[in-house]
Amino acid sequence: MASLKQITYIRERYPEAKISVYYIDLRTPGKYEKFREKLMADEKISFIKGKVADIIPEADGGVTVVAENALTGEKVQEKVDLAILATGMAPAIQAEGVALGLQMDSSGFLLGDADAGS
Amino acid sequence: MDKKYSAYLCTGCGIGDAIDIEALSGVVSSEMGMECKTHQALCSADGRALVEGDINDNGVNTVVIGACSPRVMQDEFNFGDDKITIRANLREQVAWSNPEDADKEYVQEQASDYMRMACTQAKKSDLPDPFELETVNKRILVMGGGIAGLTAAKESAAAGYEVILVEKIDVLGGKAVNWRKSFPTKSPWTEMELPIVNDLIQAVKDSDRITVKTGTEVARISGAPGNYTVTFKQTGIKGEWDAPARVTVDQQDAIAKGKMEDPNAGLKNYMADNPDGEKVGAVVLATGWTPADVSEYEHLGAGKFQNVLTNAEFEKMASQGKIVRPSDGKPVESVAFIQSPGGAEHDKDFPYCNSVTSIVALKQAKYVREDNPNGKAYILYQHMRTPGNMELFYKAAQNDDGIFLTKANVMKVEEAADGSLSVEAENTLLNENLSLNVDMVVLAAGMVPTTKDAPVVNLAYRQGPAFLDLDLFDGYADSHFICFPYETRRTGVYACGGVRKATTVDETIDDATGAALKAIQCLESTDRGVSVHPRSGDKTYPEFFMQRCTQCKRCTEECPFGAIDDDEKGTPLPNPTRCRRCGTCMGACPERIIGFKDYNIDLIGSMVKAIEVPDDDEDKLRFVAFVCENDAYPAIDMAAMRRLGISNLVRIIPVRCLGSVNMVWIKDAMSAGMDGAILLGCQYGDDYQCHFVKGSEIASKRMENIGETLGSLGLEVERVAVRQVAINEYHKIPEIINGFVEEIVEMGPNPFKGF
Repeated sequence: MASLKQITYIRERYPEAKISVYYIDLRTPGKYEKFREKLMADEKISFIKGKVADIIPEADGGVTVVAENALTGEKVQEKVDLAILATGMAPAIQAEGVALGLQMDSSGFLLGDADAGS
Repeated sequence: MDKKYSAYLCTGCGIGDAIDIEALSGVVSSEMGMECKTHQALCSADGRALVEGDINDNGVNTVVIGACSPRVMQDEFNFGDDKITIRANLREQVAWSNPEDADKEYVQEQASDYMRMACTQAKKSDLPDPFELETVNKRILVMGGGIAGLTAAKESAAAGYEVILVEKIDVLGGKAVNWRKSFPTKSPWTEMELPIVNDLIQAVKDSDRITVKTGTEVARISGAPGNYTVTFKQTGIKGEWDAPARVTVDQQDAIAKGKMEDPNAGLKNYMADNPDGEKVGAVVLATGWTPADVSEYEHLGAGKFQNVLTNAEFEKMASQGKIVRPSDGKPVESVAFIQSPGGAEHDKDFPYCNSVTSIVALKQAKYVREDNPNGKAYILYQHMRTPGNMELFYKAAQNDDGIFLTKANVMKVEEAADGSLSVEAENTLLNENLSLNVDMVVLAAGMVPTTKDAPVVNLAYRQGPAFLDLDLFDGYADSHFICFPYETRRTGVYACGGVRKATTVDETIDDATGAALKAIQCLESTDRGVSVHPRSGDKTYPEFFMQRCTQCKRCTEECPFGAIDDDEKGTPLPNPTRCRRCGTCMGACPERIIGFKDYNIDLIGSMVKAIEVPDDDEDKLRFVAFVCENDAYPAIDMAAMRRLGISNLVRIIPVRCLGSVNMVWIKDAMSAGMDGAILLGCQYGDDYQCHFVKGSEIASKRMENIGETLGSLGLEVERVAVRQVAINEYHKIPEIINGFVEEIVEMGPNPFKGF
């Protein structure tokens, strides 16, 4: 979702920019499906299902993205000005949570217990 | 209230540098007749003490503050509920909106006008007197006995409120009673759980605050928040208290002339009060969803082949025992779960799926594996939607040797002689077309909200029994899913669970708890006589001077919230506890008989007239901007903070909503010789951002009409404009406002200036 939002930032400022989205699944639930459709209708945006294998720096400051299109099996090499990684949101409390004796899951997210009021 | 005025000017934050404060003080004391004092930091303890001293020692009760934006320092400049405090925005709109080299004369005139307007506002404002019902009924009606309704009832009762829970069928539990398992709700998010629905049913039955009515429907709900009358009926029967259908003004005429049949013949009038009805104060709508009809997808064999089921049918079978083929009762070996209607043209899920059906497919694939260790489940998807921790459930399924997941365009499903099915798919992750032979196909049918095709809430309102414009939300009972999640277009009715969007059990519980809280907020606000939302706590409400009403019905038709009923003659009957205080009725009224104590036709009109319009200087054009205080006004403040520069020929007047702008104010401005008027409000249409849903849209329609009026007066229609701006679009403010000013400057002054 954040990636799709950020695409609109680029499009607003660079109406002609070519944008590629490498994804495994596009998780746009419910009403956000319309938002996805709007972006997918943009001919200068391509959506490629596939994992990125490598990102190679280039002399001019750009990077080349190396990926495999999972649907066609084709190798993709694409030189871009900017590669943006859709990284996750790690919980702010990690080691401190352990020290405080809080219940956390394997990713470090706090586990609440509604019945116990926490 | 006998008013005693005093005005104060702050010279801090650059105000004193931009403006000649002594001269400005002179305008206030001589022209406006108010004592005027200055201070270098009025918001400081010392500054406040200056004001409080006058309040305590000199009996001042109406205070005009010429300082920063009314959006900031609200606690500092709050002198109590029994005082009137008016703020003039000299900092953002004057000091920070003019470049340093701005012509001082123009800046001074601008500041003077803002003080004239603020003093006028102070003179015209009255203290509000809240609308209080004689008795407020604090019982909550929960419609729907599924997970959402049970949770809303349980939570409302836990907070100390009486509840009536009404369920259409004879048992509680809703869809969940036919589930074998539920999604994981706790770490490590891989294990399915037993449905909690029986615990919830027990908790509701055990509560002595909850009255349960099963096999019962709501015939109609009449009245208003704090004082609804609910007529119940046995499910399925028709009765005279069924909610009347909406009849428009034109239809009413046609019925009266015998040209149209009355759709409500045999029903009690919508204003009738049922003496046998039960009183409640607020409603939680939790009527849920129905499984979508997928019979249109013939290429998938829906409705054609016995072994093609929907996910809902499959779940029911799984909860009742072994999973077998309906055609011959044989236990299944292999099942294909199809998540998207497929074909080559698009990659969407079935309609009304949200992310729920992806997770359902994972759960049901697990059933296949539970029942048969050699069983195989194929999930054919376009996008797996497994938000948050459901990602871990997805991973666990990927690690199961008997569950195969692939992206695929499913092209067709065909039946063999023995009842087994073949599934053809393209564009798979195997880089080749796929052909599967399976015992059963399960289609991921969506969850259609009950409000899609029926009014459900059955309100006996002038605007009809249903929520309005639900097509914007595909039929979900929603009004703005980001800003106001549980609020519907009807104050006092709060939607949750599947009727609002396709939700998981966890989401449903959160949703139902939220809706119960909103219902409680409604009851308590109504009890105090204040607005519920979004103007929470507002003590004012629209008052009608009925002697001058011409029964034109515009207010009853245009109120976005159906707050106004009427009698047979068409005289409006306002319901203040349904009202959100946007003032759309005030904007609509051609007789100008609707107003609030601190916001009315005369007050804003007088502020417009307080603006000094030079009639002998072609450079000093004057513009008035009616600006929505929810989004556009803060955007202007933010533009000022960033010193983006806004024309000092413009005078800004905040309005509650563009819907409240009465066209007489535009006429006031134009006949005072002003050169242009601009309305700045929220986006409307499919992606509307209007806090009052329809206000900005209605305003723009009215502006089209005033364009014609201006044209007939010989004024260019371009002199009045309406523009849309979002709260975060402050960078567009100069372009919008200054652009408008330049356009009119090009055109030249108002030809009627000085007449």
